[in-house]
Amino acid sequence: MTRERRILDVDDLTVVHQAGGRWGNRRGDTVAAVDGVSLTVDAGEIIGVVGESGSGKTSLAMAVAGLGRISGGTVTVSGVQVSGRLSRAERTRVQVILQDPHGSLDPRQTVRRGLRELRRIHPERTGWTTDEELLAKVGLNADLLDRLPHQVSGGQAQRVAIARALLLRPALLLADEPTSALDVSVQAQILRLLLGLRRSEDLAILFISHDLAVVRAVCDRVHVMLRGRVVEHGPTAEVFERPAHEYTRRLLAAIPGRRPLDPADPAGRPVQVTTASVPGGEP
Amino acid sequence: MSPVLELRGLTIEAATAGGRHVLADGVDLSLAAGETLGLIGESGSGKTTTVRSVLGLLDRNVAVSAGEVRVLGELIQAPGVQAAGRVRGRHVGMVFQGASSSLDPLMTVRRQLREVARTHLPRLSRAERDARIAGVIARMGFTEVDRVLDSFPHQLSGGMRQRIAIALAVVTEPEVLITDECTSALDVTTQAEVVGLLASLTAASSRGTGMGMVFVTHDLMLAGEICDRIAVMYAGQIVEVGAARELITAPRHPYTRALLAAIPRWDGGEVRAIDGTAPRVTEDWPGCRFAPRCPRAEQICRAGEVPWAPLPGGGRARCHFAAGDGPGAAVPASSARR
Repeated sequence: MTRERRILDVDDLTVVHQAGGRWGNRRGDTVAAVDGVSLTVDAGEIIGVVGESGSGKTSLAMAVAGLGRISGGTVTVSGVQVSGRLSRAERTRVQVILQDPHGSLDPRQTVRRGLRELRRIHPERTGWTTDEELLAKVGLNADLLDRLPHQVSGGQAQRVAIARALLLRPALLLADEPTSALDVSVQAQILRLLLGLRRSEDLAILFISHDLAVVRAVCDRVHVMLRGRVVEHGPTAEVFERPAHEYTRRLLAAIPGRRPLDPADPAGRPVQVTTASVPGGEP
Repeated sequence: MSPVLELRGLTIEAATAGGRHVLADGVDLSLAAGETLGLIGESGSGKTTTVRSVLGLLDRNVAVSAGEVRVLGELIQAPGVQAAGRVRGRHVGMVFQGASSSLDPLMTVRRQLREVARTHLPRLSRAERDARIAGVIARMGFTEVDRVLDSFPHQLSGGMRQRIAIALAVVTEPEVLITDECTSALDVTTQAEVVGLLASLTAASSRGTGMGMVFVTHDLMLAGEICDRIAVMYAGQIVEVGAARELITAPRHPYTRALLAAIPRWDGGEVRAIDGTAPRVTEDWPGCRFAPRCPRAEQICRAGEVPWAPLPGGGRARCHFAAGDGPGAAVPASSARR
């Protein structure tokens, strides 16, 4: 891969949060939410980060988006280091889509007005397409332009959020649980859209999810996070077929439809996971 | 053995500014003691409305317009009948998605369990109720019973809180447990743990016969793991019912097939989307509700009410082509790969 195709370079990133003096932590204690994470995303790649609640994947995302704390290491987007204040043009280089699509749209603004606002703020980046062409790119009909967010479905709202991100021609699309709030049939539509955009727009996508099956469906490479560290990474198929780390194996074994079937059960249901076999089962 | 829960022709309508909407249409379901029945559907399919009617928790503008619900043979819901309050909590337990919202943040686990036990088991002595409470916490897989009982909800993890919510629902030893997306907000390893716990509850109780459970979820693969039978809902109607294994490995209704094909697989493979969106159903919907999105739909599908077709494995599907070698059966079976 040539150097120009390297879009995101996260090198030994550490994010430390201050504990608030509750929940068993003393005030002044620190928690390393991200602890020495390195990863790269090239143009046309979809790179996955999976982990459970508290693994640090969102702290990582926020640092990459230039919205969070960076305590150590570097985050470089298209050769520009993310830290401190970025210029307006630099900030557009990473666009974010989040779990709740309705939450990322202004409830009082039609889709058209929202796009007009983006065009007014970033005239130098947004002249490349019309609203109609942009919506067509994400599989939406132009008659949606005059709707308010509450008049569109969750899947349509997520497409609008993706369209708004694309309008700014980002180098990197950061997708943080982009389908977790959607029905499975709608999720499939959004996943197919992201796969299509990666190809048609040569987009680099950092895809963050707790859902291993979704990551398997779209990501080229995957990083498994546990307590702030990447415990395993590699090509998605390889990690899923031959997980090296015990935690990855346990995560994969917990996917519904993946657990081994119980030979003692006449209905042929899977063996059940008991409390003793999972971490954190007791207070 | 007679069913512990029975829904017959249950039709539920909502009166809205836009007219009357049919949320559930002629739902027939029965649940036996010790059985786990999965109720699967996407947002707006009517699965939550259906189970909320069993609990008597319908919104003010929503009512049963036809059919009936019986718990242990007793009529609790029908047009003009609302007696769910007589069985709710005592004979029908419930667990919802957000455990935290079922728990009072200002009360210890012990006080919350005592309140439920006092309300629904008034004939037991205080000592008997406390023994019941300690027993149920132990059954939830906790070993440090007193420590858990003296905890406030915020001192427990999400998975532990959901186990407490289950304890609150089953401390009265109900014959029917209704869970609505009760593991959907949990991490995958925690989900596996809670699912294992639920399975152990239906297997046996201190009464000898197991509890019947209705497991409402949007996750078909999860339902395939825990349920004996699965009913698939689409736009207010049940479209396919069958043994869980059978339904997932050999789905016969085109919607069930499409739903399975849309689920990303742990072992990779293409994710196939279903074009379009589910309809909002008003009273005079003609024919099959899935027809507008169905790749196999023909003239007959839009004509009138679609009859149930019995399936080889003992299930049934609401499709003209489900039983034979017709167009419905021609969808590649690879979509059913586990």
